[in-house]
Amino acid sequence: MITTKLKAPTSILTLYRSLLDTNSWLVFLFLCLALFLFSFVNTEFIATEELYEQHLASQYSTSTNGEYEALAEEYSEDLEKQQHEFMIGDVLLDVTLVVVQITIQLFFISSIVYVFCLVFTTLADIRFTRIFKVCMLSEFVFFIPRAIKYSWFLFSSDEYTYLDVKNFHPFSLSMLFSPGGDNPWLQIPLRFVNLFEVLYIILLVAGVSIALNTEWRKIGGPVTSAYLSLMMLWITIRVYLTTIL
Amino acid sequence: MFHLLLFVHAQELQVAGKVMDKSGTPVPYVNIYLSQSRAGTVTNEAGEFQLPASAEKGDTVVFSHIGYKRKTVLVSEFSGPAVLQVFLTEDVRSLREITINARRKKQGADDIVRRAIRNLYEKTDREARILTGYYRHATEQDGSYKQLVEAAISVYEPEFSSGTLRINIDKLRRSYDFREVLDAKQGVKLTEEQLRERDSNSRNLLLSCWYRNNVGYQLVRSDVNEHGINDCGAIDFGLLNEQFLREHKFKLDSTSRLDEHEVYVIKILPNARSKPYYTFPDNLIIPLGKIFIRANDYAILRFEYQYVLNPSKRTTDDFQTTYAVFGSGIIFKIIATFREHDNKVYLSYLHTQHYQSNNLPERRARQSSGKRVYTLVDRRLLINQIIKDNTSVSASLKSKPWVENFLMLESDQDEEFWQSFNTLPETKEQEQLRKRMEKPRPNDNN
Repeated sequence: MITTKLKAPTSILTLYRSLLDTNSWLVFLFLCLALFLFSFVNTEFIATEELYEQHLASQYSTSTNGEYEALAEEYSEDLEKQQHEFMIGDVLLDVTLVVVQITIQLFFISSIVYVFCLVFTTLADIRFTRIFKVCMLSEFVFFIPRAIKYSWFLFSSDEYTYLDVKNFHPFSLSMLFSPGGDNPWLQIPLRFVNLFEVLYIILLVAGVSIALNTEWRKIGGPVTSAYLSLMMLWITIRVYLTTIL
Repeated sequence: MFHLLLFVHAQELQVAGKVMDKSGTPVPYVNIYLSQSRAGTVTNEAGEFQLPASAEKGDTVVFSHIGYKRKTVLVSEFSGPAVLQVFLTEDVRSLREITINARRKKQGADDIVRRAIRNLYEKTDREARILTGYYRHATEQDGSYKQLVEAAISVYEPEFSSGTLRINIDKLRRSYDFREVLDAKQGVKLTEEQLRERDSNSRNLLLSCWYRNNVGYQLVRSDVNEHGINDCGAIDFGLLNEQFLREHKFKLDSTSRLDEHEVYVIKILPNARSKPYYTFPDNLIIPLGKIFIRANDYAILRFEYQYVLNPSKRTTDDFQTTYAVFGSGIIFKIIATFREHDNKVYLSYLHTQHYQSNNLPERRARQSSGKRVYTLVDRRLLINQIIKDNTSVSASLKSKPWVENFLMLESDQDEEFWQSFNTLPETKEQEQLRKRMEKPRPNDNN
């Protein structure tokens, strides 16, 4: 009987190992900076305030009256200048929010993976910090769909709406099926079924197996189950909030 | 001889017309007065005006407004049947003046406003006096009037730090549709005691509370306690005092001219210390305004101040919800003009708009149906006369009943009186709203 062992390309494994040995703070800093830059590009060039206002204008039947508009126009420059005076504070706030958000996200994922590894494997040396680092590194895979999305809208000559931006999830089931209608909440789970979530899980499994120095077959089940459980919980919360708000 | 006799008697004319700029746009709030009798008024939002029917043919009507050249028109020109249109020319400054102004800008808007407010304190008349004028109060909701009051009133302003402000309704021209306030007692006048028993919303009807809360100088604030609250329950907005300086940012926007004098046009903006508007979220409703200050003596000519929905918050749900509830982005407005007499400053015109919650029995029904629950209250006071003579003031103080509650009075359509009394003309829209309101309702007793 011929058995074939599946092996990841050596170069990728080598790269992953070297990344795992990189200073954790450096990785975290780079991750936060990259996330902030993506957010900046999105709010300043793609899903801008003007686009959102147009979206709201189409939803709300009330339009502002002439007297108010004339007043707003007259003072717009003065108020904008005042806003720019506070810009430094806003930037710091945005950076802080990015850092806090990613930290919480990584903490939850790392924690559940750690717990599942402890409970469902017999491995001895399972370190939370190593798992946290693997989660951080795996997170970089989600830069690819962001880059695709922003490139699409930045270099697209077609006009687009706020909803076009919001509903654009490359290589996901939500791009193939659009339930819409009375059940817009169905869009949420479909967004999570995408190529990059699969890649993320693969990277997570590979990373944890390298970090814990074990075969991926032994660790694949617990890690995948852990992440999928958390994802299901998160989807449930998102759907619930969408339907009640 | 016969013709000579005809011209012996002075001929009186009704002076009425419309003021526009060269492009045909109506100019509101233009100061208009007769040069001989000094009787004056301001144009309404449509640029329309009328002076009492006691203008003598030989008199001259003077039109004065910031940014425009003063214009004079003989009263005799108003004798035709058609409404006279008066066109004002913009007052364009020379290059030399622009250079001077550029240097002056370095003075700083804050400093200019501070000096102007101090000038106001110094020039406020501290002696007792009586102001007489025309008062108009309209409450509007969903495109129709709910209440309308027009009256000739007297305001007794006591000597500084002593006495109590008093208001008397000298003649009530119109008092429409307080039936909802009267509730089951339709058409029945309420006593003071019965009025006090009603909810606090009725205090908003009291002229003295409105006057106290909105007149922009310290004198009539002598009744404010240490918490900044007067007995009308209003919280001190900090209009035109030191607190106002601290809570706003000022910007010298431009300079203009009025009667050969340079006028600073200063924008009022919020700063970090600006108070939130009641319990609304911070920065959702912000103060914006303008103050017009004469450059040579820092006299405040005009003050415009609004609380508006913050335009930079358009994208928020709070903005959209609040706009839908009020039906407007301008939540509160005050416009006050001042004039000088014998080197003292007096209020000339006061106009406020604010929204009050609908306290009528329909409120709950409206809330559940998602309709607006706020009504727009528009109040205006045009001061016609200032009585300073001590004897006259004392005599009026004793002789007038000092009743300000129009619910307790009957309307008096004395045509001769109202013809000669200086009022604010209605715009076409206001006239339509009033006529709609005057139609009797099916269950009227009258």
